[in-house]
Amino acid sequence: MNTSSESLPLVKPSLLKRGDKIGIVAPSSPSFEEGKLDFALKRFSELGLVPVLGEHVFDSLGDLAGCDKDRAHDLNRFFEDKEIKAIMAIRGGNGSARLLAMLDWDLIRANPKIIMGYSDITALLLAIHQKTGLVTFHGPTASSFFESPYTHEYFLKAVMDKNPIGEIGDPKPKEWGPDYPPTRIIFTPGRTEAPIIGGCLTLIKQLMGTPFEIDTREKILFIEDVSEEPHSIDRMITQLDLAGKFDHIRGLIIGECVGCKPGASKRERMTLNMSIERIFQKRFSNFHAPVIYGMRLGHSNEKMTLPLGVKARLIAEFSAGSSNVVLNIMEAGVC
Amino acid sequence: MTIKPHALKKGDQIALVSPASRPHSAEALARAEAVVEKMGFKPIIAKHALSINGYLAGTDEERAQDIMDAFSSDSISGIFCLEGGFGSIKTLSHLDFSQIKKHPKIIMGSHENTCLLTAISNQASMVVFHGPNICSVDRVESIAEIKSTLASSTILPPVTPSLGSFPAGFHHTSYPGNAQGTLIGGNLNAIASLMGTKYSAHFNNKIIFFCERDERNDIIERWFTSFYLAGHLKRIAGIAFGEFPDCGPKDSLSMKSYQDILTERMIEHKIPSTFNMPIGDSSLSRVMPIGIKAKLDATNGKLEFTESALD
Repeated sequence: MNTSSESLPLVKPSLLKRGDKIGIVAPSSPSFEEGKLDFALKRFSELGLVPVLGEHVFDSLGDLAGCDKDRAHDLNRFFEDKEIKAIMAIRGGNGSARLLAMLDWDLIRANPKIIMGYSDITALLLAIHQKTGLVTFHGPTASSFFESPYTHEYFLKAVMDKNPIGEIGDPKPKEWGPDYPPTRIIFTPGRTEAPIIGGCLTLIKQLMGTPFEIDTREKILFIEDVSEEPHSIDRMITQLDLAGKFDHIRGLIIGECVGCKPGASKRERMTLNMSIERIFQKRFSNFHAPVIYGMRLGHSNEKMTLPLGVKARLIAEFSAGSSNVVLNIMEAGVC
Repeated sequence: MTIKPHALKKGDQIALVSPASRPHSAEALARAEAVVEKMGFKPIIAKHALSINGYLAGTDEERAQDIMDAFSSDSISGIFCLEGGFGSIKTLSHLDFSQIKKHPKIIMGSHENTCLLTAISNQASMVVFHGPNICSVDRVESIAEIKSTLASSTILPPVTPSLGSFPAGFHHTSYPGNAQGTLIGGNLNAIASLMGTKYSAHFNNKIIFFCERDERNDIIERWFTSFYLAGHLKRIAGIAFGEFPDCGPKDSLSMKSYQDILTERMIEHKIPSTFNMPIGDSSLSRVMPIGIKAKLDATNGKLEFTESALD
């Protein structure tokens, strides 16, 4: 079922410049608080960007932002519109995978542009990247946009700068009560250089066995998730493993998984649980490629932006008793 | 050709295994033994049935070893899963399916153990049984149902909404029509969890039954969307939706019920299908053979077997 992206040359969208229009869409769930979008719109204007709201961005149909047809329509329309230079999702949630059969791939191929989001939007990012070769962007959504200087900084580096993002730093650490996990835990040390791909684990799982299944071969894979019990994460990882998805990866970056402590989710709780850290450690110690855990690319305000398909370098080494982790995005995602 | 194990006889030895999580206590295990004795069989407790490894009953290798030991033993006639939870999927890469195929015997379980059953069904081409994990059996009706199903080498009685359910005999057709094909099925999340792997169920021309418990509507929708994206819904013959206890919106914002969501897909793909079939792991559930031919009358809520499940 795998659609190999190897045969497809990488297509880079044009970088975002002052005066450019950004299309705001809701391919998954509606915004929790509509007014929250105003913060993002204000930030956009400060950057000289002109936000354009999709026709159905405030539609609501239960947990979906309107019906499938309308949500797909907004996406296709913004890809078609030459004036729109980037497309940003308002929020993840649920429902973007439902649209994949309704997207106009030829239209997207003919109109490469920046598309960004995370969480449920992973389905769009992976599918578009693999179907068209377009570099898509795992990054903030418009309702969790710029709410930290870290996120802001990497958004600018990823889509408003022609230079590669370069070495990824960490958010400013808290002096007391630091967030757990630390950002640079090493499960297996090593050095690697390969294109980077990934996203939210639940969505990677959802696409398994479909024509949009992730191709991880010879790639550095990054994953993250939110509010999943450890056993649920373990089940998804096992599925990917049984499908051979870890056999040929060149490196693995497990991001911060917010709310994935035993008993922290609101569903499928289980007694005698173990931490995801222990599950990952058991599975990915002595791995055939470097594996790190903790970087801020998930469901918190502090989130780097990662272009899918560009070349990255991962170094994970122990030196003099401490760990040294370098993630360098060596190739620009825009042109 | 699908291999049919032998029907059970009084006094047969049954291995009690924990392919996923362990029974909650030694008392729960003792009660499961009593339940199996009540059926007229002799329970043999697998070595790691009560082991603790986080939420798992022992390591993946230990749980797989218990399954392999039970299949390989000539004195064991059947294998019952004790408990669901999570983890049978983690035993799959440690199982020797050619060895299992050489020793066909009854294996029964539900919920997470659907992963194990589905894998054995397609890797060893053997009829397997979706029925309650023994630790959750708490009614004499279940004991009678398990015993009569697994001791029968003739065609099993048709599956219709149970008279014990309320309102009696109620079913809800999501798309009318008749279908025939080989029966597969089990827990929806578990079936979705095998997608993309070599253990995955094959949906072509199949009648599939789904059950789920304690899950949010939007998560049920998410995994069902995987089947849709994979094109399975175009190729499936019919669907019997079983019991979905404690499934609903829960803390999500979904307004549509899982029945609404699934019905939309049934209509879109014109799949003969019905809700409220007595399939799952409750005291009203039927024990379902996986891998034999069946006919589904979705209009009237009736699933008929057209061949025997056991030799």
